[in-house]
Amino acid sequence: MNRSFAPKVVTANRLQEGDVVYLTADDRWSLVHHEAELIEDEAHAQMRLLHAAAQKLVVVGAYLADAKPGPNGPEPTHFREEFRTRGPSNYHHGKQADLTT
Amino acid sequence: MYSYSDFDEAFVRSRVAQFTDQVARRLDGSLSEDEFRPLRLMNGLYLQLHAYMLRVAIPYGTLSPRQMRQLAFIADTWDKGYGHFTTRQNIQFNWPKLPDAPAILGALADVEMHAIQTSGNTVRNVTADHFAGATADEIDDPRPYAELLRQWSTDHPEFQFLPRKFKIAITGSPVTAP
Repeated sequence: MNRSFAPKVVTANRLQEGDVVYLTADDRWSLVHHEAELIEDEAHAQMRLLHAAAQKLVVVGAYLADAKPGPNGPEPTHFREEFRTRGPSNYHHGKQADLTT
Repeated sequence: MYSYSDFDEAFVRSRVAQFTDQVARRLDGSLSEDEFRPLRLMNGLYLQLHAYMLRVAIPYGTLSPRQMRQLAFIADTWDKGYGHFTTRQNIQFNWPKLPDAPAILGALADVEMHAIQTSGNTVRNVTADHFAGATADEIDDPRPYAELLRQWSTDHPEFQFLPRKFKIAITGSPVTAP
């Protein structure tokens, strides 16, 4: 592992629904951050980003977001990305509500 | 309350038809996201942090009961049953899906509403005192002036690509409404 490279996940919004999604190791787009592929190699991260960006009819605005390993899978390290895992912070709606129903 | 002229009706319907075709071309890949983004923003459709958001203008904050019911119908049919009214007299639907956007704009057109110029560096929705027509100290009702400005600024070619967005509010009262 390259020590100067912060681990990443590939994230985007679904084209049709606008939902926040994460690229998994088996090439699915998951709503759940913990299911994302945690990428610890910079070259592999660029390859995965290219793979995501090519899916123009599936997702919009793919990018690499910093993440860290957690007990259940990757966890975000930036508050913006934490918001994106849950949905709006004003009250309980959006993804945080949808995923529990 | 102002009613659309034949010109207004034809203009809004033509924009709905135009955007319907643009969405179809985005969904089949004929348009890239870079090409599509300015087109959807011209029709009030943003892609925000968590989802798409459609901002609908309510000119000078005046809604008829029929329009209010149609907004509720849109929220129930294509969103999550609610919308957010904004301080600048718009309503925002926070969970629309891209394929549904043309139908939503069509439903808005059915009640003389639209989402044109609710985004971008253009003249935005013209707002008025929310007590217009009801305040004792009002010199004049601001709503006819707001309507004139709305008609003048809508699709005005000189004001579609301003350096920054431009917002107009009108009041007929010398005292700021609480």
